[in-house]
Amino acid sequence: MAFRLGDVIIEDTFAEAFPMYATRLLVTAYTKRWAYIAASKATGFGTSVIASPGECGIEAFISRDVTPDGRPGVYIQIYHNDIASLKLVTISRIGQCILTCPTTALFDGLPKIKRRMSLGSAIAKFGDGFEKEDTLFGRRVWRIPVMEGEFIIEDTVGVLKGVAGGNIIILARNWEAGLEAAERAVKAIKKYTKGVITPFPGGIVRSGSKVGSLKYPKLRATTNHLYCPTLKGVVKESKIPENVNSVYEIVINGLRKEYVLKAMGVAIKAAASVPGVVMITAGNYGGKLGPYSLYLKEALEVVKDIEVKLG
Amino acid sequence: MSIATFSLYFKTKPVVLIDVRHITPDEIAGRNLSDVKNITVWDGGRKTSLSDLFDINGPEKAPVNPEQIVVVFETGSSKLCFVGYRMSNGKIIVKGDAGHLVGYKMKGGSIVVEGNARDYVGAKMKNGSIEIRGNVGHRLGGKLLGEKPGKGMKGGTIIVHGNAGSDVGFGMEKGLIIVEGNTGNLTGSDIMGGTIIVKGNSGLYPGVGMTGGRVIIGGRVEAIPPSFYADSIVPSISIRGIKFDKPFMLFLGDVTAGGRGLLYLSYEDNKEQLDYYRLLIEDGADI
Repeated sequence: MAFRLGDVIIEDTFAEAFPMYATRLLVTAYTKRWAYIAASKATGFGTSVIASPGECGIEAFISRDVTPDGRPGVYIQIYHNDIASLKLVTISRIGQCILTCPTTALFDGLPKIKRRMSLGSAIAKFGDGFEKEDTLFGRRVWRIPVMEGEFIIEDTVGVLKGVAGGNIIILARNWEAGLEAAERAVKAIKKYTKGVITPFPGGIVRSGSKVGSLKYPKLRATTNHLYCPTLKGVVKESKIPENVNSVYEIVINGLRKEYVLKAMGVAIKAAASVPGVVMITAGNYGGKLGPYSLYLKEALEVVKDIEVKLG
Repeated sequence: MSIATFSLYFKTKPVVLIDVRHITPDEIAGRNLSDVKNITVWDGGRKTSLSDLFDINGPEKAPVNPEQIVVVFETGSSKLCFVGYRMSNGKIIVKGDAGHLVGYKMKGGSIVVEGNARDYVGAKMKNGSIEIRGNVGHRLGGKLLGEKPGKGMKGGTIIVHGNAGSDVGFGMEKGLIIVEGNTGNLTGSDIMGGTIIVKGNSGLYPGVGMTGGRVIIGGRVEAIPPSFYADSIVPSISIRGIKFDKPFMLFLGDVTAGGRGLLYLSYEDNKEQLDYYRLLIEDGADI
């Protein structure tokens, strides 16, 4: 039930993914630096909906040639279980992090999507009656007077059902090799794919979790004891081979299933090229909980023409 | 376990509402028949005894355990109110129509009405089962007017083979209501939990104000409440042993109440109303 990619064993399994409502916002600013500062603030504390308000991340930098106002921009994505929560989380993140950041403006990152979520009118109440509705760059926007000048925010943004929870698990001889492999995988995802984010710190999870608990029934998530190297001899059904001493997981959320699949493929290819990586697998709950099954074999099939080259 | 059956026949056709709240297996248990004949029954505003209104047939001495007692109203009437009030065990059968508040605050046992019943059937019931072969009025399994959501039905099962009126499950907290016919407006309004299954059509705005629970409408809906988010289309559903082999659209809400209730509407029957939502859900546009 496994095949090889170079020296690395790839288990023939699948990652179990879930539908989650997603939105994509385009933050633009006077310089790339300020756009990045606003985006990184707005996506902070957004790792997993187990305990944080939404899952967020920075997707990509956008060139000034493509953005509506001709300034450098950043795409950020926010995910949540249902639209009502997504809207609340998005409004508070924009209101606290993007509205307050110098020179920023906010536009819709999914203009072709029919399903809309209105944000502008809620944020515009900050203008205390001095706000104005307008059409700029062919988009319906609100102009909110602020001390610096004006904050421009698009009235509605697109919402769609994204795919959350695509993942790969890298089993390595030691943590140095594992971390390098994981970092290369995240780098490859950033370089070769679009429409996906890796919501965890640096894109990497060192403490993958399972649903529920063996001992504490009220906890929603606890450590994935099957993949803890220190429990190799303690837990009977441990899935860690003898020569593995460190495990990292990369979690991928994407706007479409194909994007997540492609991201998993390039991540596997990038991670497998690092010496010291023993095995690559994926996390699932037996296929019963999530409607999407993302097979590692399929993921590699999607990216078979892409040669992953990282500097 | 032997069953003791008490059969009641009307002496004359009632003209005003009759309150039979004391004729339950719990009250009859352990009494002599002559004692049972003196049980209080309200004829309109007038206090009378059971033997003034009913002829009664039954054993001389009722069993101590109410579980062994079956009370049968051999002639039904739409004036017969409070059938099975606060009953906790045993069985009541009405071979005809029943009036308002059948099974009000019921705690256990079972009630079968072979004809129709009027408003507030199973209101504020905690457990047990009610089966109505005919139609029922408004507020099936509901709460009283002016009470907060969640004060309605708290458990048990109600099965209605005919149609039901408005506000089915009004403010219910838990339990199961199955209506095999159609229902009126505002089915499942203000519910906090539990399940309402309607096999037929429903009126305006099912599920308005719901904060939890499930409402399933297997037929046509006159209007879909606007404060719900369309979530997905499910190919078939199977809830509490009842299977629907057709696609349903799942809505989440009610958002105005901050709710997380599930509202399932049959897709094929409401096609012209749901097509717009389908466009939003299945957005295949390039990103």
